[in-house]
Amino acid sequence: MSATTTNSNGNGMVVEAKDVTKVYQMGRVEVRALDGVSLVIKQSEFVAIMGPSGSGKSTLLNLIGCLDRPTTGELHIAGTDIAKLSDRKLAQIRGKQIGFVFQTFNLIPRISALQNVLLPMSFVNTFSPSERVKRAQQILDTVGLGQRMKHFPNELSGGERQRVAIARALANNPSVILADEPTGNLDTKTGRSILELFKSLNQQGRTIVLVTHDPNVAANADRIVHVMDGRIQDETFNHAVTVARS
Amino acid sequence: MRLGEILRLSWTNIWNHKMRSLLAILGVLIGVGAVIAIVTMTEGLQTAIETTFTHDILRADTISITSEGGFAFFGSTQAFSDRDVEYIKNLKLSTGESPVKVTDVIGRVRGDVLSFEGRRFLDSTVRVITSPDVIPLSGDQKSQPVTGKGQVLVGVGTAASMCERFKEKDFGSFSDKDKEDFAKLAKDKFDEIIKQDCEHVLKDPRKAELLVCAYKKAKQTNASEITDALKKECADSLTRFTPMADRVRGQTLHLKYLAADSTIKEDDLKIVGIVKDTQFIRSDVSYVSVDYHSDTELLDGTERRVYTGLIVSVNKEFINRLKEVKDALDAYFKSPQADARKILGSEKKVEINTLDEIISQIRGEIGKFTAFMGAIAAVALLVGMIGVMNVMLITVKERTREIGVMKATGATNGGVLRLFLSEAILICSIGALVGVFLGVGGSKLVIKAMEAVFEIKDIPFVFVWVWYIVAVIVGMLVGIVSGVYPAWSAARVNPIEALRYE
Repeated sequence: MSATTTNSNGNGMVVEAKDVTKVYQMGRVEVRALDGVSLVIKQSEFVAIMGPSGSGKSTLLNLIGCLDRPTTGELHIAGTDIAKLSDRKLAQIRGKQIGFVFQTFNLIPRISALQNVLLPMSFVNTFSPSERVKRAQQILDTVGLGQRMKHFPNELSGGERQRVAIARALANNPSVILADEPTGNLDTKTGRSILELFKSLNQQGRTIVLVTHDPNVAANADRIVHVMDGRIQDETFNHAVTVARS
Repeated sequence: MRLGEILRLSWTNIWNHKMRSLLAILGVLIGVGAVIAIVTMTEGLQTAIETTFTHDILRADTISITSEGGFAFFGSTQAFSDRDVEYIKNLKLSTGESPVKVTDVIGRVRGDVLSFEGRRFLDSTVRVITSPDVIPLSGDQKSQPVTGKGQVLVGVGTAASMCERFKEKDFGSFSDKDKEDFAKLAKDKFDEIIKQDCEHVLKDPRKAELLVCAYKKAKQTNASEITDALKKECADSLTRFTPMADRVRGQTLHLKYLAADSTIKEDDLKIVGIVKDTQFIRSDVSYVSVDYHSDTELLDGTERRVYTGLIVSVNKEFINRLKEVKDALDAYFKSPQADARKILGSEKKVEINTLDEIISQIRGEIGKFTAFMGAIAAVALLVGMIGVMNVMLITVKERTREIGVMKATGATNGGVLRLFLSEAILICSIGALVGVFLGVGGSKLVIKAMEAVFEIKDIPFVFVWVWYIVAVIVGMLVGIVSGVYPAWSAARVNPIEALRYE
């Protein structure tokens, strides 16, 4: 993949959260899922978000992924404040700037690997219809599935499915890849190879945000953000990785 | 998303749930098919009846006058006296103009007994007619109208009974067993040419019977094997077979009737033509000249001839003023001066109809029938629509997670809505398209059934293409109506919840 993201704003910040809160109304009870979170993720960073369940890490992921809007605060994704955007605009940002990778792969079972990669391209007009198939094939090649693009999801192993999902996430050349427990449904060995794939993508300049509760998985990132009770508790830098890279 | 992509994805979804989609399609198909079958059928029925009236019975310049309850203008009550006929001939409009060209009469022959070679026809009746023009003759040129005493037109039924008689005369009677034997022999032993001939011939029962007779004859002469002589005999039988009309025409019928002076008279009638087999004309009625008419009623002290119906032809220049002529006739038959009024009393009405009125009456009746049947078909379509809606709701529910994925990867609410809507429209369009084809095919079956049940002859197949286009468009509309709620509920799905949906 030669194309590195150019969608972020000039200062190189892909995600910029300023004092973001998210409050859910659960019946009569107000649940403060995020409580004054400020976070900056720069271009080409590999960030892991860690925290136990209920800590608010999923809410943070949903906000970064533009699936939801913050209750208060500012949230810039690739330079756009998404707090006030319409559903339609939000969908467009998701399509252009975000690439989701899920724990359960979430491929469309009735269409081939190639068509699964093509699908997000048909939602967003970043690439012209004539380029799309070629591009999808290239991406599948990069994730190591060049030989299996005509296969349907049920004909692929778990690791292969996740590779297709990653290829799908890359389809529209997004600013950031959001991976929610991407190795959670895979055995250790396959999980490791997927993490290697993320790392190599990161080395090509991709910004990756990985949500996990597994410290071994988080250890692959440059920076680990620990979330607890809706706040960022602390951030640790993985020097081994950073040093190795510099 | 571009339309092509939407349709391809929708088709993939339909194809992947074949059984479910098939059932949904079937629902729409039955609805549309039923509508199309009914429309095609009634259109054919209407054409059949209108053709009968416009081509066979009535003309644009005629007005028919019958008594109420009669069968078209062959009404059963002899209510119109020669005085009525005279009056109508000299009818004057309020402007003083005389519109009537001719008044033809239709009446019965009293005490008619019709026989052929000494055998009496049991159900036949004989009518008199002044202008045989109004009776459609069988298509060939050789049939002629009756021109005077000693001539007769026979119905197809009568002609057919005569043919039976000819066969008996030629060959004697034969049984089903004979036919079977012959068919067997024909299959086993005849050389190729004759065999083909026979198989062809056996499809025509009348020809087959002739062959059977030939076979029997051959058997009687001890031809135990199929010989050249028998083949020749069969071939001769075939050539001897002549169309019914040719066979009957020129034969003589014997009529016994009650004359005006109350004496029984007899006459020989030469058959000059066969009456075409159409709606509303009984096939066992024979038509003779008015010379044989003798039915009278005692009116104001005088015996007067009475008729069952009148046909008034107007002069050319009055064709566009039939309404005025009709009103004048109406006024006459409402007045006590009309003999028909005296005979019919106050209970029965005189029916005066122009061609247009009869046609519009028929259209009205058929329209009611179509509306009724159409309503039933529409219910079928409604049920089909509910079926599609149900399937779509299930689909949306099942694919909640996918909707979440699509939204996460950039699909807008509108995009999701279009995707599911197009699926519903696709299902319904397929149903409508196939429904049109099956409906057209089905109508042929229904027409056959109608012909058999209502004894209507030769309902044509009318290709009402406008309706087929309408049906496909309605199918698409049904798709929109049934798909819009499921698609809307799909579009509204919250992606966060959808991604968690199990």
